[in-house]
Amino acid sequence: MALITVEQVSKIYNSGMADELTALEAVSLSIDNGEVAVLTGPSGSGKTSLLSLIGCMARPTQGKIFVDGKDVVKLPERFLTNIRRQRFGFIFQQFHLIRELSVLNNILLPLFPLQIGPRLMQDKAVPILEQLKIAEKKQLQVKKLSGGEQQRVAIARALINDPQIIIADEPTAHLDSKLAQEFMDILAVLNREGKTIIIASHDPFIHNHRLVNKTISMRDGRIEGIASR
Amino acid sequence: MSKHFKIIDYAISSLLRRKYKSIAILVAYTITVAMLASVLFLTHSLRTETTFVLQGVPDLIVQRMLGGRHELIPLNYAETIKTIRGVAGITPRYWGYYYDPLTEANYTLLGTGSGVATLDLLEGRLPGSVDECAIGAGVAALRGSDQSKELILVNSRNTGVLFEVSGIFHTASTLLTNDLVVLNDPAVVDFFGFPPDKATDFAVRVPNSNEVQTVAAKIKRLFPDTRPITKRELIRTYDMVFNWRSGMMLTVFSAAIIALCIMAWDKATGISAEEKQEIGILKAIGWDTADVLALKFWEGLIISMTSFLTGVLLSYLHVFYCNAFILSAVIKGWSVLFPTFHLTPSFNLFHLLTMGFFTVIPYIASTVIPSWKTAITDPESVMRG
Amino acid sequence: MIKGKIFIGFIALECLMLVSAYLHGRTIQPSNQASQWQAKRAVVLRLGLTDFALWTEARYTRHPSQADFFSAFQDFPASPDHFPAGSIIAPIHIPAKETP
Ligand SMILES: Nc1ncnc2c1ncn2[C@@H]1O[C@H](COP(=O)(O)OP(=O)(O)OP(=O)(O)O)[C@@H](O)[C@H]1O
Ligand SMILES: [Mg+2]
Repeated sequence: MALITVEQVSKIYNSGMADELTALEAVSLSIDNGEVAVLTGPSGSGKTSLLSLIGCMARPTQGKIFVDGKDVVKLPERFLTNIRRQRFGFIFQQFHLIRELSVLNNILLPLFPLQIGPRLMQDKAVPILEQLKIAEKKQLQVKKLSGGEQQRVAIARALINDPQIIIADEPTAHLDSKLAQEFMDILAVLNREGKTIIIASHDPFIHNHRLVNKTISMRDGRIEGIASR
Repeated sequence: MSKHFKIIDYAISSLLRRKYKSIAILVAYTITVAMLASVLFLTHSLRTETTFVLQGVPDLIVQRMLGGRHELIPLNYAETIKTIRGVAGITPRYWGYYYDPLTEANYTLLGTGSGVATLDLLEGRLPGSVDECAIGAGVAALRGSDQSKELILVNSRNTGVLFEVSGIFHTASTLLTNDLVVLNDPAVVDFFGFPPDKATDFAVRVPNSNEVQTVAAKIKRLFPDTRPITKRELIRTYDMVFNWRSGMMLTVFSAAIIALCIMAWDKATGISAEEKQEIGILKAIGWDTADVLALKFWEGLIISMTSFLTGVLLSYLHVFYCNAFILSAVIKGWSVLFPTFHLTPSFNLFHLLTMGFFTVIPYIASTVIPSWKTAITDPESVMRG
Repeated sequence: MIKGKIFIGFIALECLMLVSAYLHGRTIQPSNQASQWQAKRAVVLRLGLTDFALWTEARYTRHPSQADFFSAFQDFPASPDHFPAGSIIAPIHIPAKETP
């Protein structure tokens, strides 16, 4: 059975108003456990919107979304929080870091509401920081970092909770080819550990990466084609 | 537990990030609390002290009224009053006000009856003859009499009269004696030019406190032009001046009102786009709505608790160790001679808790409630702004 | 964690100071009552004082207990209550009949 199933999902923003906008229309797809899926499509085609729905950051106007067989569309808010916390690591297109906070605290932020002591929190953060090569900047405020460094902080934050599914929205947009390569290497390790990965990207480097086994092309809020390999 | 520790930690970081706003609120809040608590402390300790000290006032004072004004009372009224049952004694009191153009201050000139006496709070002794006086510390300082040991006042015939200072009241008693110039009775009569058969008023001694009211009624019946003032009324007066209802409740409610004002200001400046964004992010990375609200609760509590406690402690120092110097500047009015307060440090725990409740709770509510709506919205739309 | 601990420590310290201030007041009050207040009461008793020398600016503010309900206006009936202290002390109104 698929890990994530999206059935006939539409998302309409500002419904009923003058600036009504259909971002997604009758989208259906499924992603299996352990898969690496890539969403492609021109800007504004609805990639970010779709990822938000899958990641339980928003609710669809219509349709159903199943995560591990559970319909999340009608779930009350507190269950969604649990799903977000336990299953998803989300790397946002705009990073959504807290700019005045230090790198370390940004990364640890998802752990704050959990019953974890400070020592254990550190222990979790250290390998991730090292893996992403931002260990020596950990006390710096995020706003003082370069775009690429901020992106890596965003990635580190997504990984801290050891999520089952990693959702990355344009993760390589601010990385040079070497760092992009390293990012994909990290994903490769995670994938080998059994994690499911969903990436939205324009980057041909990702499209052509050997790790990817499903490509979903989108246009104007619809799915144009799904290619598996 | 560890969770709330971490959330407190994060709340402090958040407040520090909005450093100037936080400090502004903290300072305004602290000052407000300090002011209100000062009023509370001052009135409370004045009240406790008054009720005790004023137990010494005359049982009954009989004034004469003429044309709705206080008039000198004929001494022969005393003969009749003395015969009323329950009256143990009656003494004429001679006193009046003296405006000193030199210092632009009003003094109270008071006759001291007869007999040389010393008092614990009097450095020296009470005047023994017509050319001696005992003065309050305020008068002494204003006129330099503590050095020169003499005081010159201009009497009703426009003649300067020199009094030798036989005693100066202790500063600890300024609340009672600050503006006093105590002379002996003949000196007061002569100074003001009172007619020889009149006094300012009578102090009547009625040993049985249950009888005071009846005696007062009888006096009023015998002399319809008099106004008897009982001891209880006297003390009631001060109860009213530092009234629990008008003073204490006003304090408490104005505290609430001002807390509300701060809150309204905070709300008007609103939960900013930045704060909203932050809440969205926290939700997106797995914070519960309850966690976000806990964060806001702690933010509110940190500000209000710190301000409240600091404000109260500051006002405690202010009232009891700095003689309420700020507050006295406010309540001083036009008094040139204003006593310094030497108050016994004490306060009413219940009043304080009430005030704490009315300041801390509304503020916390005002930080938590506006975030509520943001905290229950989908994080995606919150983050997009 | 360190910031949180500083905060809690600070609050605890302030609470402690407040409690000790309260207890200090509770212990000092009886002794003051015995000595200083007694001495003040003696002054009141000896001089027949009726009021506190708080506001010396006007007759009715110097001796509020000796003034009556409208003394603030007695010099000129239409005059506003122009002494600042008049806004702090309430007009004295004592019910004619009082049950003890
Ligand atoms: N909250 C919103 N309110 C109104 N319109 C929105 C909202 N979010 C997205 N949209 C619109 O929905 C459409 C799809 O947006 P989306 O961000 O999903 O595109 P995208 O494929 O991620 O584009 P890009 O490659 O540039 O990131 C866009 O036209 C966008 O303007
Ligand atoms: Mg996008």
